[in-house]
Amino acid sequence: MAFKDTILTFENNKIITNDDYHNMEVMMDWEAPIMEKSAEYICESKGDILEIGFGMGICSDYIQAQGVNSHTIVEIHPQIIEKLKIWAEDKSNVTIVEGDWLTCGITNKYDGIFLDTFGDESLDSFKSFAIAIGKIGTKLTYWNNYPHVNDKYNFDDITFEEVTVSPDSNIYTEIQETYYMPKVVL
Amino acid sequence: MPTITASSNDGYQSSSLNSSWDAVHDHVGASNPVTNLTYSALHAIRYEYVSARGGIKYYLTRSFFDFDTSSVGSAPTEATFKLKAHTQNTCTPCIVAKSGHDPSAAATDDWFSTWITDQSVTLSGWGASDITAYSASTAMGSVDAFTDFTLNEDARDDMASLSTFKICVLHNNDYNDTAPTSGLLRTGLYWANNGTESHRPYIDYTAAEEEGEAPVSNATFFGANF
Repeated sequence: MAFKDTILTFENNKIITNDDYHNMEVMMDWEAPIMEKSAEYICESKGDILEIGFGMGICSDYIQAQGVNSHTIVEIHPQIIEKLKIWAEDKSNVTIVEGDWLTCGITNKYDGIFLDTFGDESLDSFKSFAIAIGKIGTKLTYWNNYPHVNDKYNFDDITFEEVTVSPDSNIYTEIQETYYMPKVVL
Repeated sequence: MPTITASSNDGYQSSSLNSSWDAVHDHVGASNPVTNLTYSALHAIRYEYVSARGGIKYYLTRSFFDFDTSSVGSAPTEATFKLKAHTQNTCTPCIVAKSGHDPSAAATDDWFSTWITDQSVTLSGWGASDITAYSASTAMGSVDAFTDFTLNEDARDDMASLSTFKICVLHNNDYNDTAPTSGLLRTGLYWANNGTESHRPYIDYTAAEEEGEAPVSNATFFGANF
C-alpha cells in the first residue's frame, strides 16, 4: 500500500503509520533541532523556499520564522494535507501543492529546498529535479536517516553539519546523538 | 491417499525491522514464535521492503509446521504439502525447507534462521546452499484455496526416517538470500488450530509398497495383462 493511502495516527509528539508500515513513526518532535538548523540553512537568502513534506509542521514553523519571501509546501498524504491547510490559513506567503513532488507540476525556481518525505519511491529522481528547479547558489538539504554522512544523491557541492539530538525511542531511524545535516549548494 | 494434518505447534516468527538485509535475513528472531492462532491475516509469510524517511527497512516472517510421521514406514512415492492462504497471498513464490524448530523450547535464539540452518552452519550470510529444500519454488494459490507444494525425495525420505517431520515455508528470495527491492509481500495462512478442519494444513502422500504387501498388479495399473 502506498504511503498516501495508509491511515495515520496523530499524537502530541509524533505521527505513526499503521500496520502496513509496521506502525513506524513518520515524524517525532525530538527532530526539532534538526528542523531548526535545516530551516536556517535553506532560508539564508530569505527568498523563495520549497519544502517537500509537511509532516508535523515543525520545519514549516521554523521556515516561517525566517521571514522568507515565499514558502511553497508539497504534501502527498491527505490527512496531513488537512492539517497543513489549517496551519496555512493565516500565512499569506504559503502556497500548498498537493501530490507527488515529482509529478505535481512544479516549475518555479527556488532559493532554498528541503526534502523530507516518507515512503517515497521517487527519490532516485531528486537530484535532477532539484537541479531543474534550483538556481546557482540555491541552498538545499534533505532528511538524512542514517547516523553518518550520506551523500545519497551524489551532489557535487555538499558538506555535513553535525546537530546534537536526543531521539526518543523509535523504529524509523538509527540516528542516535548526532544528526549529520547535508548542506548542498547548487 | 493417507493424510497427516500439521500439529497445533505450527506458527510463525518474524525478524526485526532493520535497514540491513543481512541483519534481517540472518536474524535469530526478534521475538518468540507465535503458535496459538487459528489463522493469520498478515503475519504468516512476509518478505518486505519499506521505504520510510529516505531510508529503507527490511522485514521477514517465516512460518513453520511439523507433522507426526511416526507411522510412515517407508519413503512415500509422492507427497504434497497443502497450505491454505488467508486474506492475502502476495508473498509469492514460496518454498518449503527442512526445519529444526522445537516449539517446546521456544527461546528466541533457537528459532528463525537457526531452525532452518539446523544450527549446523554459520548464521552469517547463510543462503540456499546451506539448507535443505523440500520443494521447488511454488506460486501461492488463491486466498481460501490450497496451494500444493510437491515434496521432493529428500522430504519423502525424511518423512520415513523422522518421527516428527518439520518444515519451514519462506519466500523463495528469502531462501536464496536476495534482498527485496520493493513492495510489501504478505501471505496470510490458516493454522492447524483452526476450528474448521478443512482449513488446516496437511500432507497427503502415496505410501510406498511395504515389504510383504501384495504387489500391485500391472493389470490394475495398465488395464491389460502382461
